[in-house]
Amino acid sequence: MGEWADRGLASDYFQQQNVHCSACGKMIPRRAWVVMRDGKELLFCEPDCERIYDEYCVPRYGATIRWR
Amino acid sequence: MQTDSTELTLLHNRLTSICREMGVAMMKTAYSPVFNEGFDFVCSLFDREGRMIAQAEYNPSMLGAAIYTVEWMLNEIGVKCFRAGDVWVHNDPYRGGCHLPEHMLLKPVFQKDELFGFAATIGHIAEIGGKAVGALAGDATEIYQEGLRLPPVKLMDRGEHVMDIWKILMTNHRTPKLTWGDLHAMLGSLHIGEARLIELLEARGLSRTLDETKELMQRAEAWMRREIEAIPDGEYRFEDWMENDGITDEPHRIQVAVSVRGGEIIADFTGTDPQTRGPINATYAVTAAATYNAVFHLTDPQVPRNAGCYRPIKIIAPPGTMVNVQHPAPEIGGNSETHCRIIGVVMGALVQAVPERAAAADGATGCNFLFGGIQPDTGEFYANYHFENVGWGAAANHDGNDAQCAPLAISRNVPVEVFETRYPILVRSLRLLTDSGGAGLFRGGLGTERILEIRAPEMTVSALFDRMRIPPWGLQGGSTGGTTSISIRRASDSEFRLFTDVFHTVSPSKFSNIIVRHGDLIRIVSSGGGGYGDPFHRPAGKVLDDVLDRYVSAQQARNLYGVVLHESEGTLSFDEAPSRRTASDRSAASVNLKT
Repeated sequence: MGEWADRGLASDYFQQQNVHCSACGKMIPRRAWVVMRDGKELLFCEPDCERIYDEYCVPRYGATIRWR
Repeated sequence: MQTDSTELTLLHNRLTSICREMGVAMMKTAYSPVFNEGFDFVCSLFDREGRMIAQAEYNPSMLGAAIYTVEWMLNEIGVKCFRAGDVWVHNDPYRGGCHLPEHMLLKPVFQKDELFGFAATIGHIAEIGGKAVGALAGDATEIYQEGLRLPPVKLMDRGEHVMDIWKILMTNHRTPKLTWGDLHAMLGSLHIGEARLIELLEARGLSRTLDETKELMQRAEAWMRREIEAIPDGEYRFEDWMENDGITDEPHRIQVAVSVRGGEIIADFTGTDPQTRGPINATYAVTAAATYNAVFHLTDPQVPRNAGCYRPIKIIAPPGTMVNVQHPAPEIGGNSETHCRIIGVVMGALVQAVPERAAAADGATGCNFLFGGIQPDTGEFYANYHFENVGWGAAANHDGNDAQCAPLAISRNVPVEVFETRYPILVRSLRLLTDSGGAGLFRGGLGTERILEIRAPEMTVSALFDRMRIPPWGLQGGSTGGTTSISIRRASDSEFRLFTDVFHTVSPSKFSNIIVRHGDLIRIVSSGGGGYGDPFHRPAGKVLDDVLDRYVSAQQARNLYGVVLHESEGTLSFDEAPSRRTASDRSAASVNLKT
């Protein structure tokens, strides 16, 4: 089970790289749905993307962090 | 408690009507042809949590993207920062936007002191600075060459202009009067949206309206899930190519695996090529909007268009690829060219599941032609963003539409008279192009040929086309549609030649800042749609009609449709070619029609 937390980089104008949802790849503006798995932090843009990660991404690509 | 369906329908229609009225206000007051003739804008309403509650039938590429643009803006700014009379502007592709020219204006709507939601418009500002007049530089290599980028900033503060921002805009755009006029048309549109929403809230109450819009979204979601459930479960793959990025003359692949799982669709673009050096990269919002667009083409158009109907469609777009561009890669063609191709690959995948609902590929390019310079009569700078219409793909029960904006938008073709009145250009000819529609049981729609004559001492032109080499695909045995081209005949020359030959551009379809001169002719050919089904099964009478209407030449009628025409004393008749007689579905053999 995850929780909402500030992880996005929306207001940091010195930083040009964005943070992406671990499932869909969408940029996360500010608030991320943060889930800990095996000691690793996964960031999602919404709780439904955690479901997509478990049901679609993990069976297909493995339990890896494909991008941040 | 469930609200009565009739009551909800009335509310949905009223909200949609508000969005339509916002669009009409913008269309009637904007300065640029891309707005008032081309309809390159969108109007929508959102609740206070940033969920879209209604939209009107304007530009679908922006409609799908507005969800992300608004979401980003509310997340970055925070809802509490909005006050009555504020308007925020935002065009940053890396902040949920489409591409740089699409400016989103967002205005909060309060009833008394309580926030209900937002009125939003996205409009294509025709000139935004950058290396090329009209912004769509076909050879840009980073976003900083494409125009002025605005993060969410306040354009109006409690009803007053924030002149510092306006000054930055007007200084960096080549045509500040148009920028001023078009942004004020958007502000007027937001004012209409705000006023109508307040009238609605006063009649119905804020709390009740919020509850009912929530229920509308739930019903739209349930309806869309039922539509998706009617598509057979499975995984459907497809790929297509962008033929070059304007920098290197190599194709770039877009790949999708569409999984239909009950009432949900997952469009996974893993495997798509990395983002390119040139400007054909799409933002996540563009990829999502294109995917929605394709799914909406295959499902019931009556499903209410609000946040609910988007929820069952999930998009996976790996960051750093052509379908989810990252800073500082250029992206200006992502929303005019790559967008079309993304619609096509999703459609191409789903055609395997529902062939009776899908269509062959459309022309799938904006044929973006940008030009500008100094008006000889007034000495003022002018700039225009022109897009050409294409043929649409044929479907399982009808021919493709001719000369229509590619399905990323609903934009109208700018009338010749407007063109000639506003710019030093003469339109020498504009016609449907014979044989450009892919042959089939149902024929692809026709593309066009337009010849422009330059009437200024000099003019700067740029282009961002695709489908010049890789034609739109046909379906179920239908042929490919015609390809695009842009060529020039110098005043001193006798024939049209490609820009690669005359100006040594890397790409024949993507270039910027070419100087042309008085008397030069530019020929723009747009692509046709792919055909559907075996052309030999098209009734011979229809082929004859096509020849009489000059949609199909007599030669193509014989070669591709197997119908041989004879002319005798002004009457055209046909006989089926020997090869056609072997087809199982033969048509009546003798019909005579007056030419």
